[in-house]
Amino acid sequence: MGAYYDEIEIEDMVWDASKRVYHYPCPCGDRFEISRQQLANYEDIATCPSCSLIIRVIYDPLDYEDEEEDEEDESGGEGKSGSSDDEYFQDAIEKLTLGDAEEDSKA
Amino acid sequence: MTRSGHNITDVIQHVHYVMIFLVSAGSNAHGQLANGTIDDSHTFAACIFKDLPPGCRIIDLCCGANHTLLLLETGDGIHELWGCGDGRAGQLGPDWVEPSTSFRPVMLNCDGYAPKLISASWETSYVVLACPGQRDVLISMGANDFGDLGVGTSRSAVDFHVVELPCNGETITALHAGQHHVVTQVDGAQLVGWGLSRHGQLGEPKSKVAIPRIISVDGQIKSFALGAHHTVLLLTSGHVVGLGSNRKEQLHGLETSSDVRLVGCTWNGTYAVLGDQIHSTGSHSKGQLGRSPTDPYVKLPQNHHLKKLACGTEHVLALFDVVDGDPEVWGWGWNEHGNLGLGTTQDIRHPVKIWPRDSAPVSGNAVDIWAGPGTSWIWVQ
Ligand SMILES: [Zn+2]
Repeated sequence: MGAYYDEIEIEDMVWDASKRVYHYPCPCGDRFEISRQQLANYEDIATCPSCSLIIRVIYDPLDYEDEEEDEEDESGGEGKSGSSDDEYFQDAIEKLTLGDAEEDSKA
Repeated sequence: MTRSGHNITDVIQHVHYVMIFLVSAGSNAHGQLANGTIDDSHTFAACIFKDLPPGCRIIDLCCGANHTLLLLETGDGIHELWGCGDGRAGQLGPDWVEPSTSFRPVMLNCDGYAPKLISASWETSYVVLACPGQRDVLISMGANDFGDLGVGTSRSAVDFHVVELPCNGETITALHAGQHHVVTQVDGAQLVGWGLSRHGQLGEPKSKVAIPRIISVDGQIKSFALGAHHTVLLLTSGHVVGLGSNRKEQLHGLETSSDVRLVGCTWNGTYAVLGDQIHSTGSHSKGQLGRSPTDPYVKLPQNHHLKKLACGTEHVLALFDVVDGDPEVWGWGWNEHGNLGLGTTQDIRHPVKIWPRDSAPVSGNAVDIWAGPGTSWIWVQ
């Protein structure tokens, strides 16, 4: 297990409904995150955005199989707790740009 | 989030008020180092206080994920709770809107009561309030992911909560929090705990403990320390009792020790002080044990008397009285955020002296030390 900072059971992680990720405390004060989509894809590495540290998540991928349908409504519309307004603004801008680009290509 | 312009003004305006020389180093994404920035600091830098009353001394300091609590006694003998960093979960009280990169008073509306003990789990703060002639009151504020608040599974982050302890007793004598669990001691005897206990870190049965429950122990408790998934109890007999996970050998060999006088826990390790030697056990991937695997004890300097151990999440500080010399602080372990204040980010596998330092912005004798999630603190006089 040398490469992992730790191996953590999913039951020790917390679900963030607004960012749609499971997270676990990183010793730097930030947190390791992994999305339900990643779990459904049999991925098991949760990363910390502020560190080199990673953890391996112990879980049963079968529990997350039905997640595949979920991709469409991944962003926006959810509750706001735990995520800054800035991020929502950024998301909105990105979507806006994407939308425009599609329109342009059609034209 | 670039606030540096504003913060430089802070430094200039308040430099006159700095009478406590507290220095900090390490991880600082939300201003939890109180040094006026939100950048990691790889060397010790002076903490900034907003309008500090004269003659203050530090009683205690504790760290959550991204917030810091400071218990001060003013020159008039009044106890005050101060804080810095991220308060979005309510962990710095209801009035804390913006992150603060300097220490400010934490406002609690509790007339007649004064803060006596403090602690912090991940995004939750705990304060014991004392009032002459009244029972001590324990309050919690902030996040409630694993019943951290000790008031059930209600998610309310509004204001603060009074934690009801399941025992009679007037005085709360000790309070310590781990990653997501808390233990407090009533009248110097009974232990009460709550929060995450999937690994048995609050004893049996293993489960989430949202309502405080008594932890039964054979023996009189002297002190205790909490990691991520384990708890270590030091008995007045000098024996040590471990609760919870031993997956990283964080409880290994503890039961055979006697004459232990201090205990400390990182998230995945335990440190038991015998005389001036430290028995270390647990995770060593970042040098946390401070010794070669074949050595029994942490490699410490000669003629140094160990006064205090401060365990961060994955690094350790030790404060020494030195025969014929000034006090020294040594440190080892995980150092990715420059949290040992050495100007580097390489992990330190054997203890090195981190204070006094010629290159530091302030000089003076180390009085006390604390450590948090990738952060280190030294009170200098
Ligand atoms: Zn991290």
